[in-house]
Amino acid sequence: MYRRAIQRAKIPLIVLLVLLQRTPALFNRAVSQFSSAGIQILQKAIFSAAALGPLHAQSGASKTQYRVQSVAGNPITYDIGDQTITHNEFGIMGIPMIIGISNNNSPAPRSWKLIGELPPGIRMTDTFEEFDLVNNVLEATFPLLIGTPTEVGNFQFQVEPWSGPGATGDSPPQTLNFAISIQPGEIPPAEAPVLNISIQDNTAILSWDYDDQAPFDLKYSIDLDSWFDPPQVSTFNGGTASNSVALNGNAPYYFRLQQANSSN
Amino acid sequence: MSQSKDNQISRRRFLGEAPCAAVGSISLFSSLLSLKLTNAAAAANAPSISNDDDYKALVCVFLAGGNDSYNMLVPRQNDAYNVYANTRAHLALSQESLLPITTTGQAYSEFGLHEQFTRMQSLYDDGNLAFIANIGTLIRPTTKSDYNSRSFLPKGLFSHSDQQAHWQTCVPQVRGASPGGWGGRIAELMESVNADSNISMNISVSGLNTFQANQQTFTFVANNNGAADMVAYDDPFEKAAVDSLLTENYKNLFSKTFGRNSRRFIDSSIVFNEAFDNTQIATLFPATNFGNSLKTVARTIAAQSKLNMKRQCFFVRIGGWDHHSELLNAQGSMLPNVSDSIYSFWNALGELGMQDNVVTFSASDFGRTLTSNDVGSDHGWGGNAFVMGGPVQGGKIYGNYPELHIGSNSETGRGRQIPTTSVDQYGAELARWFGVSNGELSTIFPNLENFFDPYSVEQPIGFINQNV
Repeated sequence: MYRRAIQRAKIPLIVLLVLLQRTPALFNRAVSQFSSAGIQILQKAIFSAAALGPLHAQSGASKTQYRVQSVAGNPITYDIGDQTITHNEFGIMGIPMIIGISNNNSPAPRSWKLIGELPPGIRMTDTFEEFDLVNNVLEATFPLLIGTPTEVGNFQFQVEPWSGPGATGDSPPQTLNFAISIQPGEIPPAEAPVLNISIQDNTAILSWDYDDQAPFDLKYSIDLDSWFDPPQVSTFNGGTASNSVALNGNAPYYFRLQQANSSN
Repeated sequence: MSQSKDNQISRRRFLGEAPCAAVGSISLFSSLLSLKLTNAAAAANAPSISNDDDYKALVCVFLAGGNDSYNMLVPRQNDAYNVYANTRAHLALSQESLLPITTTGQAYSEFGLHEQFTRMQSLYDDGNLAFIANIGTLIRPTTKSDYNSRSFLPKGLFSHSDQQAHWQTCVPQVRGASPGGWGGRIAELMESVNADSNISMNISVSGLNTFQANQQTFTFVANNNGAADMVAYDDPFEKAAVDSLLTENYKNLFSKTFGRNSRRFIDSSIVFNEAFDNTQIATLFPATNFGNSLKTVARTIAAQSKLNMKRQCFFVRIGGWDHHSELLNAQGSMLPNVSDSIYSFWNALGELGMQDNVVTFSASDFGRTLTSNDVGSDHGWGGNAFVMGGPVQGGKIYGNYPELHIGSNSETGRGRQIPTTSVDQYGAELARWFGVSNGELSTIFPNLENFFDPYSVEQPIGFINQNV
């Protein structure tokens, strides 16, 4: 019988707790109205429970504050209550971008969870670029999104701070959503590999690291104005390309690696 | 009516102390007012202040609100930790959570840092960061019996506004900011070192402050985007209108001063922004206000040669340390920002090749009570500070780390510590490195001779290697 009575009492108590949590005006009015000793004891018990806030919230917080800063822009602070906030960011393919993130809740985040996919070319790391995502979790307080976008498109993901390592402990009730739009842009030329040169019997022996994804061709010149393909076709062995050019007379020879399919 | 008898001043005490205060103030203010004359003489007779042509900068990091620094720097040696844990009760950090550091010169060698101070631990272990234990505002060395008899105590002990002012003025026998700040006095004395620059030696990224204020010094206030611009001043008609207003020969002294300061601010902002905008730092900082402020300081240091500056003194404030209502989570949330931002700043100085030219030091209103008020800690007195830089002989705790049990010789109730190192000693060591001559130290720190002979070959505390 007692058990049933307690269960019946639970429902209005929970309704009261939710009402007090959701309506600060009612909370404040109730706090200021009651005065008798008995009610004050009850009041303390109920209001303490109400002040605990929703389950899963950090230190009873029902709001959380995020701060987002791209290197070029001013920081943007988001005080998030119940609503979902999306931070919009724009990038250009081939142009490096850096976005710093912090969360002002207590306790400070020990780790961050990534929900969704980052734009290709962008990684999530810490301020000192020492840690990367492992199973979509970053062990850091201040995460960075850093890199050079390699694909055009619209990318959406969420970041979620956690008070403990490995996305454990508490997390604020609201994550921060990102919508990053990557616009087309010129891809900067790849950096040329090192050209190794040795001379044997009046022949220049040349070799360089070869990457199928970023191929470079050998060119030579005797006046630095006109550049020609070498007389022989380059040979490839694993990741190394090589060629040899006979050096005729006393004319100077100049060699360089030029990005394949480019005119200069 | 319920005022404690201890707080009431007796007729006998009033009669005893009033003449001392009057005499003290007269000599103090006469020496502070003479700064301008001293500086003029220094400028006329070549720099008696410093023969050093190298660039040097001081960066004051003010933890406003009173950092609970006995949970920042904690005993880890078993017996001492047990005393700490017993006194702090539920405010104690667990022994296992502490980041271990060791030191010489204290009663025991094993200490620990708050677990959120990971980057500070690296800086300490690498010899680039030191701590100063139990430092605070003092008029003269003070014992427990001095405290109990209320003799020569700083005015307004345990009060934010008073202790913030005293840390910055180093004249704790006078309430308020009227004596000016010791950073301001240093700038006034050394103004001639930056004679070729239009920018003030004192630059704040946290607004106006007492530390950099003095009668003749001008604090240049910058934000994270450089100096504030006057809207539309680049429009020739607007510019002509503003210029004519500012160059008017006003009879009213206030109008004249306002016009002169506005003119100076506009001119220096233009010069500052030209240099600042062309300076970038590749080092990444945390996306926080404090991180951005230190990045601004690093960018300004990078611009020093364009600004023709040999000396710069910066002020950065980070607030929110008044943890009455909750200590452990709140402080634990704020320390990573300090630790990571300071570490980024150190890396940025490395990027600029300036690690040996900059000393960064912390200040805070006061330490806090060791005992709990049930949820947090309350206003105290002595606390622990950190100092970072190439010239710092790091990896060591300087001063005297106190015994943390209730009833110790340095404890005044609830674990409030009487400082054993004065802010004057701290400031004097920094000022000496900055280039202030021994003869001028007492002018900047009027109480210094109560703690230290300014002409001594020894250092006031010993954390700076003067050969760097």
